[in-house]
Amino acid sequence: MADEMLSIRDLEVRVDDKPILQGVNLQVGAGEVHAIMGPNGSGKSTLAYLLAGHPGYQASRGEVRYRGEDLLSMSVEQRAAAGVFLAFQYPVEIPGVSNIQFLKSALNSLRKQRGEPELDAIEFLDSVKAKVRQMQMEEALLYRGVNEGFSGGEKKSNEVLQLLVLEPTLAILDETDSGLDIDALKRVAAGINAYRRADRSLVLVTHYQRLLDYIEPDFVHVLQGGRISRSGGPELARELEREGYVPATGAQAPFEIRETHGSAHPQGPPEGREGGDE
Amino acid sequence: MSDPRLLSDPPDRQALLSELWPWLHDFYQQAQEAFQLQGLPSRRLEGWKYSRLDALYERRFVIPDDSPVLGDSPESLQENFPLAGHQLVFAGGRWLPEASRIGPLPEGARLCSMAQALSSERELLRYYLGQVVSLQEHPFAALNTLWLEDGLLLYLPSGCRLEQPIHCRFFNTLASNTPTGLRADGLAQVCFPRLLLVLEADAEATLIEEYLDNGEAESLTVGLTEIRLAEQAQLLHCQLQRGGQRSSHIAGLHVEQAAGSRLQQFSLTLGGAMLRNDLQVQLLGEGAETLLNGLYLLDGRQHLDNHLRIDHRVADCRSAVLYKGVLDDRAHGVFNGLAVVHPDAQRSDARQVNKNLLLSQGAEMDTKPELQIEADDVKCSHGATVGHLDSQALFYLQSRGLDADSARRLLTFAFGYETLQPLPDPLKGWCAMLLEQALQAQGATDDHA
Repeated sequence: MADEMLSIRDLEVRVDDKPILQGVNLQVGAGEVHAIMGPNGSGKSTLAYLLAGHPGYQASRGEVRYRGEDLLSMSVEQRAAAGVFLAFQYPVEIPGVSNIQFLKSALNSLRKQRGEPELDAIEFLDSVKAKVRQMQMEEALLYRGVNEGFSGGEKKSNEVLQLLVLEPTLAILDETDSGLDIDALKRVAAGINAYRRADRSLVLVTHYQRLLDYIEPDFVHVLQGGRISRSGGPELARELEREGYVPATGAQAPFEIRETHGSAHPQGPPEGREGGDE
Repeated sequence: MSDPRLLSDPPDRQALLSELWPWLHDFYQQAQEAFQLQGLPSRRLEGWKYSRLDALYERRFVIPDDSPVLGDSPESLQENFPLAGHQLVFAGGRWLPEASRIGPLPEGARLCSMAQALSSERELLRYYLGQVVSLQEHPFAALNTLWLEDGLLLYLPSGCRLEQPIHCRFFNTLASNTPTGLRADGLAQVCFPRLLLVLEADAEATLIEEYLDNGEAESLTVGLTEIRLAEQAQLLHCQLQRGGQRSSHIAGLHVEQAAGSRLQQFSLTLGGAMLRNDLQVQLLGEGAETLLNGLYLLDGRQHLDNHLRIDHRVADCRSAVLYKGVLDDRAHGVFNGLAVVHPDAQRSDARQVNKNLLLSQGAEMDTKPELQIEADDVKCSHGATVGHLDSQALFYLQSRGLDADSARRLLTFAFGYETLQPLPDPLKGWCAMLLEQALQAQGATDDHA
């Protein structure tokens, strides 16, 4: 069995006193790829933001452990230094900070927090350029403001470039496939696959199955009404693609990811919840 | 002088004038009349209502008797010049030849201290000095003229292009003061540097006015710069205010531009206590262009008042103003920009933008960009914003590992950097470094981090 990377137990998150996540349980082992799917407003982005430490999202119940540590007690930058990475659904534009300067500041901040020396400027540049080529991005994007005037595809590629440069241990990708044409999707997926390693885990938050055609998940979960309503293997994603998110009639046996901490919700999720996270 | 405030024990100016520069007598008389009519401005005047001058008026200032020596100054003041070129150092308003370096000049060009010019360039001064500024409307310009003694003259004949920049460094006080920031005699130091820049047709130059100070000394600089650009002349002018927390600066920059001339002006304010900048541009010839950028970084109880006025007198001129500010603690900033498009100035293009970041609850910004349009075929726009750092951008940076302070600093730097963008290297790089240093220092003294 893989070492434990992420363990979410009975997580409840409220935004403006409205429950968005209502008892989420999830176990992610090292080297595993988990896809979290679900309809709009089901709380997928809330989960992603909460894990990264967005100040607007606080857990009102439950716990999250990352490699055995209490993730929720860590600051945003401590989580980053510990190896947690969120690829944003809507990457932020920062005019005036060049992409390369941003990558360098980020990497050196991470290294500093880990007690590692700063990188040699030339080695850093060479390694970033190699990854830019790998992502088939224009090198000129390195010298533009972060995401400034980038196309949708360029922004998503830039998130994956950061993933490759910063080399986190747990990557949460929030709708990284949305707004991509098929070629961009293939490039982005290839970058994500290049990141995969036995000691790194991926959580793919996605609305559609098509990203999973290129990145084979080990587990697929359905987040609906603030809970994980179903879990399964890659075949679950294909079923959802065919049949939509309407829960199958009758209680579906939850897929046990771990012996005991599978996400169970036999009654099926309540319908019509407004998530407010998208 | 009619107003006994500001200066105690004035030396006998009249005697000095009649002895050394009798040819300046009329000019001096005009300044005296202009100042007597206006006196020192009070906050009751619209243009001065935010300026915190009262504290200044309570001080007693003195013009130092002898020139200080740079070698005696604290090491922090003996910073290397960042750019190769002509380097002029002033202290207490007076030129320090031993600390300056003026390189070879093209034929016909003049670059010397104002004191030298007063004795050797009379014809030039008689013709140009005081021609650009209206002393009747600017009391501190009149005051500067009353105490005219030293500064700088730059004269470039037609077609003369200075390859190398001119960097002027003005120190008010150099010597260490008593803990109160005052001199041993209880007085504070004042100086009145005067600059005159005349660029004839097609001439080109870059000039940097940098104001520095001993960090602790109480001081006042009342400066005045007159700029005259003939047809097609081009000037890049920078004013850098890096004074200490007790040094005040009242600066006047008055410009006249002939047809096809181009002024690129950048004002960077990083230090000082009470700062007031009056920037007045007259676009007098068709096709003249003026680009005014400013950046100010204020904290503590600093006060900065930027007053800009651009007059489009004739057709087809262009003006663009971009001023940005970052205010922390209990700092107070004022931006008052006025573009006047006169009746004959058709096809004028006048743009003004003022954007501000408030980093604390106590910081305050008053911004008023104004347009006064008397022509019908014009392109004019103005806008102002006062806001806070983008919290989503902060989160984005922190999620990549930057701590909160570094993230704030990076975003603030990025906000300000836009104003430096048009500067050429290496000047741009140097200004960016000064901005970075100032942000580091501001972060280091923050108590809200």
